[in-house]
Amino acid sequence: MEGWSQSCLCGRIFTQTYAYTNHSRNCKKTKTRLSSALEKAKERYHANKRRKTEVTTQSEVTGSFRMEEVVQTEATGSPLPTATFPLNDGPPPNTTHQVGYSARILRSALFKFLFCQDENSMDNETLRQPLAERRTRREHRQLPKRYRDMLPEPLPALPPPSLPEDTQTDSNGPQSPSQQSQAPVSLADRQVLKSGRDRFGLYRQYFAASFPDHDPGERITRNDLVESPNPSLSVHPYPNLSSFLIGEWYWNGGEKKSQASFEQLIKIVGHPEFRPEDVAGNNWRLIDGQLSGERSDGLNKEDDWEDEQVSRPELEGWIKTPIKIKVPFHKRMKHPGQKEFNAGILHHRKLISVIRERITRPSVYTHLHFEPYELFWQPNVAAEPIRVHGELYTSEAFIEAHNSLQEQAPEPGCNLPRVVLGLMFASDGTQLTSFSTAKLWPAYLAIGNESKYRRSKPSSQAFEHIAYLETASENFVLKFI
Amino acid sequence: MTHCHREMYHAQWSIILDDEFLEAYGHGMVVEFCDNNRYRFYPRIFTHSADYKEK
Repeated sequence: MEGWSQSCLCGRIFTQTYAYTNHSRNCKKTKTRLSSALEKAKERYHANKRRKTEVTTQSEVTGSFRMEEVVQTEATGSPLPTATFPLNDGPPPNTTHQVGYSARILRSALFKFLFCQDENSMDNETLRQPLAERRTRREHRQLPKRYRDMLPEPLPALPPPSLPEDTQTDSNGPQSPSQQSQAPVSLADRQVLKSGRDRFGLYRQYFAASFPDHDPGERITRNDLVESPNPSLSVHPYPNLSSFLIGEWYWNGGEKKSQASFEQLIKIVGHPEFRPEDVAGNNWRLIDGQLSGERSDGLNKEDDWEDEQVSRPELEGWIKTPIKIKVPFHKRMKHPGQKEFNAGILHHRKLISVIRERITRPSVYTHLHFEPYELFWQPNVAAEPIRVHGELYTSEAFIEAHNSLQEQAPEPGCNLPRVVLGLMFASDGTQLTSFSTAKLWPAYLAIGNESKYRRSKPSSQAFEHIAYLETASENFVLKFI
Repeated sequence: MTHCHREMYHAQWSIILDDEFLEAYGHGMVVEFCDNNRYRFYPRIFTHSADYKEK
Protein backbone atom coordinates (compact mmCIF):
# COMPACT_ATOMS: atom_id res chain seq x y z
CA MET A 1 0.00 0.00 0.00
CA GLU A 2 3.09 2.21 0.06
CA GLY A 3 2.88 5.29 -2.08
CA TRP A 4 -0.93 5.26 -2.37
CA SER A 5 -2.60 8.48 -1.43
CA GLN A 6 -5.94 10.02 -2.07
CA SER A 7 -7.09 13.53 -1.39
CA CYS A 8 -10.64 14.28 -0.48
CA LEU A 9 -12.64 17.20 -1.71
CA CYS A 10 -12.39 18.87 1.63
CA GLY A 11 -8.63 18.94 1.37
CA ARG A 12 -7.56 16.08 3.60
CA ILE A 13 -5.13 13.58 2.23
CA PHE A 14 -5.33 9.91 3.11
CA THR A 15 -2.76 7.24 2.70
CA GLN A 16 -4.92 4.34 3.87
CA THR A 17 -7.75 3.01 1.73
CA TYR A 18 -10.08 2.26 4.63
CA ALA A 19 -9.51 5.68 6.18
CA TYR A 20 -10.44 7.31 2.94
CA THR A 21 -13.60 5.29 2.44
CA ASN A 22 -14.60 5.97 6.04
CA HIS A 23 -14.07 9.63 5.59
CA SER A 24 -15.83 9.85 2.25
CA ARG A 25 -18.87 8.31 3.81
CA ASN A 26 -19.14 11.15 6.30
CA CYS A 27 -17.57 14.04 4.46
CA LYS A 28 -20.18 16.74 4.13
CA LYS A 29 -18.55 18.41 1.26
CA THR A 30 -18.48 15.32 -0.87
CA LYS A 31 -22.11 14.62 -0.19
CA THR A 32 -23.27 18.11 -0.95
CA ARG A 33 -21.38 18.15 -4.11
CA LEU A 34 -22.63 14.82 -5.25
CA SER A 35 -26.24 15.67 -4.63
CA SER A 36 -25.98 19.13 -6.11
CA ALA A 37 -24.28 17.77 -9.17
CA LEU A 38 -27.07 15.28 -9.57
CA GLU A 39 -29.62 18.04 -9.27
CA LYS A 40 -27.79 20.11 -11.77
CA ALA A 41 -27.76 17.20 -14.09
CA LYS A 42 -31.45 16.77 -13.58
CA GLU A 43 -32.08 20.39 -14.37
CA ARG A 44 -30.07 20.15 -17.51
CA TYR A 45 -31.81 17.02 -18.46
CA HIS A 46 -35.21 18.64 -18.07
CA ALA A 47 -34.14 21.67 -20.01
CA ASN A 48 -32.87 19.39 -22.68
CA LYS A 49 -36.10 17.54 -22.81
CA ARG A 50 -38.10 20.72 -23.04
CA ARG A 51 -35.97 21.88 -25.87
CA LYS A 52 -36.38 18.57 -27.60
CA THR A 53 -40.11 18.80 -27.50
CA GLU A 54 -40.02 22.36 -28.76
CA VAL A 55 -37.52 22.04 -31.57
CA THR A 56 -37.24 18.85 -33.42
CA THR A 57 -33.92 19.40 -35.00
CA GLN A 58 -31.08 17.01 -34.70
CA SER A 59 -28.38 19.46 -33.84
CA GLU A 60 -29.44 20.10 -30.27
CA VAL A 61 -27.70 17.03 -28.90
CA THR A 62 -24.25 18.17 -29.95
CA GLY A 63 -24.23 21.48 -28.12
CA SER A 64 -26.01 20.28 -25.06
CA PHE A 65 -24.76 19.08 -21.77
CA ARG A 66 -24.53 15.37 -21.39
CA MET A 67 -25.74 14.02 -18.19
CA GLU A 68 -23.72 10.84 -18.23
CA GLU A 69 -20.54 12.88 -18.11
CA VAL A 70 -21.34 14.47 -14.80
CA VAL A 71 -22.61 11.32 -13.22
CA GLN A 72 -19.54 9.46 -14.24
CA THR A 73 -17.11 12.07 -13.08
CA GLU A 74 -18.91 12.45 -9.78
CA ALA A 75 -18.99 8.75 -9.17
CA THR A 76 -15.27 8.37 -9.62
CA GLY A 77 -14.55 11.31 -7.39
CA SER A 78 -12.31 12.97 -9.93
CA PRO A 79 -12.46 16.74 -10.33
CA LEU A 80 -15.11 18.06 -12.63
CA PRO A 81 -14.08 19.12 -16.07
CA THR A 82 -14.36 22.86 -16.28
CA ALA A 83 -16.08 22.66 -19.58
CA THR A 84 -19.24 21.31 -18.05
CA PHE A 85 -19.94 24.54 -16.11
CA PRO A 86 -20.59 27.96 -17.45
CA LEU A 87 -17.79 29.27 -15.27
CA ASN A 88 -14.91 30.14 -17.47
CA ASP A 89 -14.29 33.82 -16.72
CA GLY A 90 -11.26 33.61 -14.47
CA PRO A 91 -8.05 31.59 -14.78
CA PRO A 92 -8.51 27.91 -14.17
CA PRO A 93 -8.49 27.58 -10.39
CA ASN A 94 -7.10 24.64 -8.51
CA THR A 95 -9.29 21.64 -7.96
CA THR A 96 -10.57 22.27 -4.41
CA HIS A 97 -11.31 25.87 -5.06
CA GLN A 98 -13.15 25.17 -8.22
CA VAL A 99 -15.28 22.46 -6.62
CA GLY A 100 -16.29 24.68 -3.71
CA TYR A 101 -17.23 27.45 -6.06
CA SER A 102 -19.15 25.28 -8.42
CA ALA A 103 -20.94 23.66 -5.50
CA ARG A 104 -22.18 27.01 -4.33
CA ILE A 105 -23.49 27.87 -7.75
CA LEU A 106 -25.05 24.48 -8.04
CA ARG A 107 -26.85 24.94 -4.77
CA SER A 108 -28.40 28.18 -5.83
CA ALA A 109 -29.40 26.60 -9.09
CA LEU A 110 -30.88 23.75 -7.18
CA PHE A 111 -32.91 26.13 -5.05
CA LYS A 112 -34.16 27.89 -8.06
CA PHE A 113 -35.04 24.63 -9.63
CA LEU A 114 -36.86 23.31 -6.63
CA PHE A 115 -38.88 26.26 -5.42
CA CYS A 116 -39.02 28.90 -8.05
CA GLN A 117 -40.14 26.80 -10.89
CA ASP A 118 -43.80 27.65 -10.74
CA GLU A 119 -43.81 30.56 -8.31
CA ASN A 120 -41.32 33.12 -9.44
CA SER A 121 -41.92 35.51 -6.57
CA MET A 122 -41.22 33.34 -3.55
CA ASP A 123 -39.96 35.60 -0.81
CA ASN A 124 -37.49 34.75 1.87
CA GLU A 125 -40.21 34.62 4.52
CA THR A 126 -41.79 31.66 2.88
CA LEU A 127 -38.49 29.96 2.42
CA ARG A 128 -37.70 30.16 6.09
CA GLN A 129 -40.78 28.11 7.00
CA PRO A 130 -40.37 24.38 7.44
CA LEU A 131 -40.99 22.38 4.36
CA ALA A 132 -44.06 20.66 5.78
CA GLU A 133 -45.78 23.99 6.26
CA ARG A 134 -44.87 25.29 2.90
CA ARG A 135 -46.44 22.41 1.10
CA THR A 136 -49.88 23.02 -0.29
CA ARG A 137 -52.59 20.69 0.97
CA ARG A 138 -55.65 19.15 -0.55
CA GLU A 139 -58.62 20.63 1.16
CA HIS A 140 -61.96 18.88 1.64
CA ARG A 141 -60.45 15.51 1.28
CA GLN A 142 -62.86 12.58 1.53
CA LEU A 143 -62.11 9.92 4.05
CA PRO A 144 -61.47 6.42 2.79
CA LYS A 145 -64.71 4.65 2.07
CA ARG A 146 -64.59 2.43 5.11
CA TYR A 147 -64.51 5.42 7.46
CA ARG A 148 -67.38 7.24 5.84
CA ASP A 149 -70.70 7.02 7.65
CA MET A 150 -73.74 7.52 5.52
CA LEU A 151 -76.83 8.54 7.40
CA PRO A 152 -79.90 6.60 6.47
CA GLU A 153 -82.45 8.51 4.51
CA PRO A 154 -86.01 7.81 3.50
CA LEU A 155 -86.83 6.48 0.10
CA PRO A 156 -87.08 9.02 -2.68
CA ALA A 157 -90.23 11.08 -2.64
CA LEU A 158 -92.88 10.24 -5.13
CA PRO A 159 -93.74 12.67 -7.87
CA PRO A 160 -96.74 14.81 -6.97
CA PRO A 161 -100.00 13.04 -7.74
CA SER A 162 -101.54 14.06 -11.00
CA LEU A 163 -104.72 16.04 -10.70
CA PRO A 164 -107.83 13.90 -10.83
CA GLU A 165 -109.78 14.26 -14.03
CA ASP A 166 -113.20 13.55 -12.67
CA THR A 167 -114.19 16.08 -10.06
CA GLN A 168 -117.48 14.63 -9.08
CA THR A 169 -118.67 15.85 -5.74
CA ASP A 170 -119.44 13.45 -3.00
CA SER A 171 -122.51 14.20 -0.97
CA ASN A 172 -121.14 12.46 2.12
CA GLY A 173 -119.51 15.45 3.70
CA PRO A 174 -116.01 16.74 3.03
CA GLN A 175 -114.21 15.70 -0.08
CA SER A 176 -111.19 13.61 0.38
CA PRO A 177 -108.55 13.31 -2.30
CA SER A 178 -108.79 9.57 -2.26
CA GLN A 179 -112.50 9.61 -2.86
CA GLN A 180 -112.06 11.81 -5.87
CA SER A 181 -109.30 10.09 -7.67
CA GLN A 182 -109.94 6.54 -6.76
CA ALA A 183 -112.78 5.46 -8.91
CA PRO A 184 -112.53 1.71 -9.22
CA VAL A 185 -109.49 1.19 -11.36
CA SER A 186 -109.62 -1.39 -14.05
CA LEU A 187 -106.56 -3.42 -14.82
CA ALA A 188 -106.13 -1.70 -18.14
CA ASP A 189 -105.47 1.62 -16.45
CA ARG A 190 -102.67 0.27 -14.39
CA GLN A 191 -99.12 0.60 -15.47
CA VAL A 192 -95.63 0.21 -14.11
CA LEU A 193 -94.58 3.36 -12.32
CA LYS A 194 -91.07 3.95 -11.13
CA SER A 195 -89.87 6.45 -8.62
CA GLY A 196 -86.49 8.14 -8.86
CA ARG A 197 -83.40 6.47 -7.50
CA ASP A 198 -82.02 7.64 -4.21
CA ARG A 199 -78.43 8.00 -3.05
CA PHE A 200 -78.13 4.28 -2.41
CA GLY A 201 -79.60 3.31 -5.75
CA LEU A 202 -82.97 2.20 -4.39
CA TYR A 203 -86.17 2.90 -6.19
CA ARG A 204 -89.79 1.89 -5.91
CA GLN A 205 -91.87 0.36 -8.62
CA TYR A 206 -95.64 0.47 -8.42
CA PHE A 207 -98.11 -1.29 -10.58
CA ALA A 208 -101.06 1.03 -10.42
CA ALA A 209 -102.88 3.77 -12.25
CA SER A 210 -101.11 6.49 -10.34
CA PHE A 211 -98.73 6.92 -7.48
CA PRO A 212 -100.48 6.63 -4.13
CA ASP A 213 -101.65 9.82 -2.45
CA HIS A 214 -100.72 8.53 0.92
CA ASP A 215 -96.97 8.22 1.10
CA PRO A 216 -95.62 7.40 4.54
CA GLY A 217 -92.12 8.19 3.35
CA GLU A 218 -92.89 11.88 3.44
CA ARG A 219 -93.47 11.80 7.15
CA ILE A 220 -90.29 10.03 8.02
CA THR A 221 -87.95 12.28 9.89
CA ARG A 222 -84.36 11.67 10.69
CA ASN A 223 -85.35 10.67 14.22
CA ASP A 224 -87.36 7.79 12.84
CA LEU A 225 -84.32 6.47 11.05
CA VAL A 226 -81.56 7.04 13.53
CA GLU A 227 -81.55 5.87 17.08
CA SER A 228 -80.72 8.96 19.04
CA PRO A 229 -77.85 8.14 21.34
CA ASN A 230 -78.88 10.14 24.40
CA PRO A 231 -82.57 10.57 24.99
CA SER A 232 -83.52 13.53 27.07
CA LEU A 233 -83.78 13.04 30.79
CA SER A 234 -87.20 11.73 31.55
CA VAL A 235 -88.67 11.49 35.01
CA HIS A 236 -92.10 10.36 33.91
CA PRO A 237 -94.64 10.25 35.53
CA TYR A 238 -93.21 12.99 37.68
CA PRO A 239 -93.62 16.37 36.04
CA ASN A 240 -90.21 17.70 37.04
CA LEU A 241 -86.99 16.80 38.74
CA SER A 242 -87.89 18.24 42.13
CA SER A 243 -91.03 16.14 42.32
CA PHE A 244 -89.07 13.12 41.25
CA LEU A 245 -86.54 13.57 44.03
CA ILE A 246 -89.24 13.93 46.65
CA GLY A 247 -91.13 10.94 45.30
CA GLU A 248 -87.97 8.91 45.12
CA TRP A 249 -87.23 9.75 48.72
CA TYR A 250 -90.74 8.79 49.76
CA TRP A 251 -90.71 5.39 48.09
CA ASN A 252 -87.10 4.32 48.39
CA GLY A 253 -86.14 5.86 51.69
CA GLY A 254 -87.15 2.84 53.71
CA GLU A 255 -90.25 2.17 55.77
CA LYS A 256 -89.23 3.91 58.93
CA LYS A 257 -87.98 7.38 59.46
CA SER A 258 -84.31 7.43 60.17
CA GLN A 259 -81.62 9.98 60.75
CA ALA A 260 -80.04 9.16 57.42
CA SER A 261 -83.22 9.54 55.45
CA PHE A 262 -84.01 12.77 57.21
CA GLU A 263 -80.63 14.10 56.17
CA GLN A 264 -81.36 12.98 52.66
CA LEU A 265 -84.61 14.89 52.67
CA ILE A 266 -82.85 17.99 53.93
CA LYS A 267 -80.34 17.57 51.15
CA ILE A 268 -83.09 17.40 48.54
CA VAL A 269 -85.01 20.36 49.89
CA GLY A 270 -81.87 22.38 50.44
CA HIS A 271 -80.54 21.85 46.94
CA PRO A 272 -80.30 25.11 45.00
CA GLU A 273 -82.19 23.60 42.08
CA PHE A 274 -85.07 22.45 44.21
CA ARG A 275 -88.18 24.53 43.58
CA PRO A 276 -91.06 24.18 46.04
CA GLU A 277 -93.62 25.47 43.54
CA ASP A 278 -92.80 22.50 41.30
CA VAL A 279 -93.86 20.09 43.97
CA ALA A 280 -96.82 21.92 45.44
CA GLY A 281 -99.42 21.52 42.70
CA ASN A 282 -98.88 17.85 41.91
CA ASN A 283 -101.59 15.25 41.94
CA TRP A 284 -99.56 12.78 43.93
CA ARG A 285 -102.22 10.14 44.00
CA LEU A 286 -102.36 10.09 40.23
CA ILE A 287 -98.61 9.95 39.92
CA ASP A 288 -98.36 7.09 42.35
CA GLY A 289 -101.12 5.34 40.47
CA GLN A 290 -99.17 5.69 37.25
CA LEU A 291 -96.10 4.41 38.99
CA SER A 292 -97.89 1.26 39.97
CA GLY A 293 -98.71 0.58 36.34
CA GLU A 294 -102.20 1.96 35.93
CA ARG A 295 -103.21 3.81 32.84
CA SER A 296 -102.96 7.55 33.07
CA ASP A 297 -106.58 7.93 32.01
CA GLY A 298 -107.61 6.37 35.27
CA LEU A 299 -109.70 3.61 33.78
CA ASN A 300 -107.51 0.86 35.21
CA LYS A 301 -108.07 -1.25 32.16
CA GLU A 302 -105.66 -4.00 33.01
CA ASP A 303 -106.44 -4.03 36.68
CA ASP A 304 -110.11 -4.75 36.18
CA TRP A 305 -109.35 -7.76 34.17
CA GLU A 306 -106.85 -9.05 36.63
CA ASP A 307 -109.36 -8.65 39.43
CA GLU A 308 -111.89 -10.75 37.57
CA GLN A 309 -114.39 -7.94 37.45
CA VAL A 310 -116.57 -8.09 34.39
CA SER A 311 -118.22 -4.81 35.04
CA ARG A 312 -117.29 -2.97 31.86
CA PRO A 313 -116.41 -5.52 29.26
CA GLU A 314 -117.00 -3.15 26.34
CA LEU A 315 -114.77 -0.47 27.78
CA GLU A 316 -111.95 -2.81 28.44
CA GLY A 317 -112.17 -4.52 25.13
CA TRP A 318 -111.39 -7.79 26.79
CA ILE A 319 -113.94 -10.52 26.42
CA LYS A 320 -114.25 -13.88 28.06
CA THR A 321 -115.52 -16.66 25.92
CA PRO A 322 -115.86 -20.24 27.02
CA ILE A 323 -113.85 -22.59 24.88
CA LYS A 324 -115.81 -25.59 23.70
CA ILE A 325 -114.08 -28.55 22.25
CA LYS A 326 -115.40 -31.79 20.98
CA VAL A 327 -113.94 -34.97 22.28
CA PRO A 328 -114.74 -38.23 20.55
CA PHE A 329 -115.28 -41.42 22.51
CA HIS A 330 -114.93 -44.71 20.84
CA LYS A 331 -117.82 -47.04 20.62
CA ARG A 332 -116.84 -49.47 23.30
CA MET A 333 -117.09 -46.81 25.93
CA LYS A 334 -120.17 -46.15 27.92
CA HIS A 335 -121.24 -43.09 25.95
CA PRO A 336 -119.79 -43.37 22.47
CA GLY A 337 -119.66 -40.52 19.97
CA GLN A 338 -118.62 -36.91 20.18
CA LYS A 339 -119.27 -34.84 23.22
CA GLU A 340 -118.76 -31.14 23.70
CA PHE A 341 -116.95 -29.92 26.75
CA ASN A 342 -116.09 -26.58 28.19
CA ALA A 343 -112.37 -26.64 28.31
CA GLY A 344 -111.72 -23.25 29.80
CA ILE A 345 -112.24 -19.59 29.25
CA LEU A 346 -110.45 -17.57 26.64
CA HIS A 347 -109.59 -13.97 27.39
CA HIS A 348 -109.41 -12.10 24.16
CA ARG A 349 -110.21 -8.87 22.43
CA LYS A 350 -112.26 -8.26 19.35
CA LEU A 351 -109.89 -8.32 16.42
CA ILE A 352 -111.73 -5.71 14.44
CA SER A 353 -111.81 -3.21 17.26
CA VAL A 354 -108.13 -3.79 17.94
CA ILE A 355 -107.27 -3.20 14.31
CA ARG A 356 -109.52 -0.18 14.07
CA GLU A 357 -108.07 1.36 17.17
CA ARG A 358 -104.57 0.67 16.03
CA ILE A 359 -104.68 2.06 12.53
CA THR A 360 -106.75 5.13 13.32
CA ARG A 361 -104.22 6.30 15.85
CA PRO A 362 -102.70 9.38 14.21
CA SER A 363 -99.18 8.34 15.09
CA VAL A 364 -99.68 5.03 13.32
CA TYR A 365 -101.83 6.13 10.43
CA THR A 366 -99.19 8.37 8.93
CA HIS A 367 -96.78 5.47 8.79
CA LEU A 368 -99.05 2.95 7.14
CA HIS A 369 -98.28 1.80 3.63
CA PHE A 370 -101.50 1.35 1.71
CA GLU A 371 -100.14 0.17 -1.59
CA PRO A 372 -97.52 -2.47 -2.03
CA TYR A 373 -94.56 -1.82 -4.26
CA GLU A 374 -91.47 -3.56 -5.44
CA LEU A 375 -88.23 -2.21 -4.17
CA PHE A 376 -85.25 -2.40 -6.46
CA TRP A 377 -81.59 -1.70 -6.07
CA GLN A 378 -79.69 -0.36 -8.99
CA PRO A 379 -76.28 0.95 -8.02
CA ASN A 380 -75.72 2.63 -11.37
CA VAL A 381 -77.56 3.12 -14.59
CA ALA A 382 -75.82 0.32 -16.40
CA ALA A 383 -76.44 -2.30 -13.72
CA GLU A 384 -79.31 -4.73 -13.74
CA PRO A 385 -81.82 -3.81 -11.01
CA ILE A 386 -81.94 -6.23 -8.11
CA ARG A 387 -85.10 -6.83 -6.14
CA VAL A 388 -84.82 -5.89 -2.49
CA HIS A 389 -86.85 -7.89 -0.01
CA GLY A 390 -87.44 -6.84 3.52
CA GLU A 391 -90.87 -5.45 4.23
CA LEU A 392 -94.23 -7.15 4.19
CA TYR A 393 -95.64 -4.49 1.91
CA THR A 394 -92.91 -5.11 -0.64
CA SER A 395 -93.38 -8.87 -0.61
CA GLU A 396 -94.76 -10.98 -3.39
CA ALA A 397 -97.57 -12.31 -1.20
CA PHE A 398 -98.76 -8.84 -0.36
CA ILE A 399 -98.68 -7.72 -3.97
CA GLU A 400 -100.62 -10.80 -5.00
CA ALA A 401 -103.23 -10.16 -2.33
CA HIS A 402 -103.44 -6.54 -3.41
CA ASN A 403 -103.84 -7.40 -7.06
CA SER A 404 -106.50 -10.02 -6.48
CA LEU A 405 -108.35 -7.55 -4.28
CA GLN A 406 -108.29 -4.90 -6.97
CA GLU A 407 -109.58 -7.39 -9.49
CA GLN A 408 -112.49 -8.32 -7.27
CA ALA A 409 -115.82 -6.75 -7.93
CA PRO A 410 -116.16 -3.77 -5.60
CA GLU A 411 -118.73 -3.66 -2.89
CA PRO A 412 -122.01 -2.38 -4.29
CA GLY A 413 -122.33 1.34 -3.90
CA CYS A 414 -118.85 1.88 -2.63
CA ASN A 415 -115.93 3.31 -4.49
CA LEU A 416 -113.55 3.80 -1.66
CA PRO A 417 -110.01 2.69 -2.33
CA ARG A 418 -109.53 -0.87 -1.23
CA VAL A 419 -106.49 -1.64 0.82
CA VAL A 420 -105.00 -4.87 2.03
CA LEU A 421 -104.23 -4.88 5.70
CA GLY A 422 -101.45 -7.28 6.53
CA LEU A 423 -101.98 -9.00 9.84
CA MET A 424 -99.05 -10.61 11.53
CA PHE A 425 -99.82 -12.82 14.46
CA ALA A 426 -97.35 -13.99 16.97
CA SER A 427 -97.66 -16.06 20.08
CA ASP A 428 -95.23 -17.41 22.53
CA GLY A 429 -95.70 -19.10 25.86
CA THR A 430 -93.92 -17.57 28.79
CA GLN A 431 -93.17 -18.93 32.18
CA LEU A 432 -94.27 -16.36 34.71
CA THR A 433 -92.38 -17.49 37.74
CA SER A 434 -89.35 -19.60 38.39
CA PHE A 435 -90.87 -21.87 41.00
CA SER A 436 -94.38 -22.54 39.88
CA THR A 437 -96.17 -23.58 36.75
CA ALA A 438 -97.91 -20.26 36.22
CA LYS A 439 -97.83 -19.69 32.50
CA LEU A 440 -99.12 -17.24 30.03
CA TRP A 441 -99.51 -17.76 26.36
CA PRO A 442 -100.15 -14.37 24.89
CA ALA A 443 -101.02 -13.85 21.28
CA TYR A 444 -100.05 -10.62 19.62
CA LEU A 445 -101.04 -8.81 16.51
CA ALA A 446 -98.95 -6.45 14.43
CA ILE A 447 -99.90 -4.62 11.29
CA GLY A 448 -97.75 -5.53 8.32
CA ASN A 449 -98.43 -2.22 6.59
CA GLU A 450 -96.14 -0.60 9.06
CA SER A 451 -92.45 -0.59 8.40
CA LYS A 452 -90.51 -3.25 10.23
CA TYR A 453 -88.23 -0.59 11.61
CA ARG A 454 -91.17 0.90 13.45
CA ARG A 455 -92.74 -2.43 14.24
CA SER A 456 -89.73 -3.75 16.04
CA LYS A 457 -89.15 -0.66 18.10
CA PRO A 458 -90.48 -1.24 21.59
CA SER A 459 -91.24 2.45 21.93
CA SER A 460 -93.74 2.40 19.09
CA GLN A 461 -95.73 -0.36 20.81
CA ALA A 462 -96.62 -1.96 17.54
CA PHE A 463 -97.74 -5.31 18.90
CA GLU A 464 -101.22 -5.47 20.32
CA HIS A 465 -102.32 -8.14 22.71
CA ILE A 466 -105.26 -9.93 21.28
CA ALA A 467 -105.66 -12.94 23.47
CA TYR A 468 -104.26 -15.05 26.22
CA LEU A 469 -104.44 -18.54 24.88
CA GLU A 470 -105.26 -21.42 27.15
CA THR A 471 -103.93 -24.89 27.07
CA ALA A 472 -105.84 -28.00 27.85
CA SER A 473 -105.05 -28.54 31.48
CA GLU A 474 -103.91 -31.85 32.83
CA ASN A 475 -106.97 -32.22 35.00
CA PHE A 476 -109.29 -31.68 32.14
CA VAL A 477 -107.63 -34.29 30.05
CA LEU A 478 -107.35 -36.80 32.85
CA LYS A 479 -111.09 -36.84 33.23
CA PHE A 480 -111.39 -38.86 30.07
CA ILE A 481 -108.53 -41.22 30.33
CA MET B 1 -104.16 -35.40 25.06
CA THR B 2 -102.70 -34.21 21.79
CA HIS B 3 -106.14 -34.21 20.34
CA CYS B 4 -107.38 -32.01 23.14
CA HIS B 5 -104.53 -29.58 22.71
CA ARG B 6 -105.15 -29.29 19.03
CA GLU B 7 -108.87 -28.93 19.44
CA MET B 8 -108.31 -26.35 22.11
CA TYR B 9 -106.03 -24.36 19.87
CA HIS B 10 -108.41 -24.41 16.96
CA ALA B 11 -111.34 -23.54 19.15
CA GLN B 12 -109.55 -20.54 20.51
CA TRP B 13 -108.56 -19.27 17.12
CA SER B 14 -112.09 -19.67 15.89
CA ILE B 15 -113.15 -17.48 18.78
CA ILE B 16 -110.52 -14.88 17.97
CA LEU B 17 -111.32 -14.89 14.28
CA ASP B 18 -114.94 -14.17 14.96
CA ASP B 19 -117.80 -13.48 12.61
CA GLU B 20 -117.13 -9.79 12.64
CA PHE B 21 -113.63 -10.46 11.41
CA LEU B 22 -114.85 -12.82 8.73
CA GLU B 23 -117.28 -10.19 7.55
CA ALA B 24 -114.42 -7.69 7.28
CA TYR B 25 -112.29 -10.30 5.56
CA GLY B 26 -114.87 -10.81 2.87
CA HIS B 27 -116.33 -7.38 2.44
CA GLY B 28 -113.81 -5.05 3.93
CA MET B 29 -114.13 -2.58 6.73
CA VAL B 30 -114.42 1.13 6.17
CA VAL B 31 -112.13 3.14 8.36
CA GLU B 32 -112.16 6.89 8.49
CA PHE B 33 -108.97 8.57 9.49
CA CYS B 34 -108.23 11.80 11.22
CA ASP B 35 -107.64 13.57 7.92
CA ASN B 36 -111.13 12.55 6.72
CA ASN B 37 -109.73 10.03 4.28
CA ARG B 38 -111.74 6.88 4.15
CA TYR B 39 -110.48 3.53 3.02
CA ARG B 40 -111.97 0.12 2.83
CA PHE B 41 -109.63 -2.29 4.51
CA TYR B 42 -109.41 -5.95 3.82
CA PRO B 43 -107.52 -7.71 6.56
CA ARG B 44 -105.34 -10.51 5.33
CA ILE B 45 -103.27 -12.82 7.47
CA PHE B 46 -99.71 -13.05 6.27
CA THR B 47 -97.65 -14.45 9.06
CA HIS B 48 -98.06 -16.24 12.29
CA SER B 49 -94.92 -16.75 14.24
CA ALA B 50 -94.93 -19.15 17.10
CA ASP B 51 -92.89 -21.89 18.66
CA TYR B 52 -93.39 -25.51 18.13
CA LYS B 53 -95.36 -26.90 20.97
CA GLU B 54 -92.96 -27.96 23.65
CA LYS B 55 -93.20 -31.59 24.55
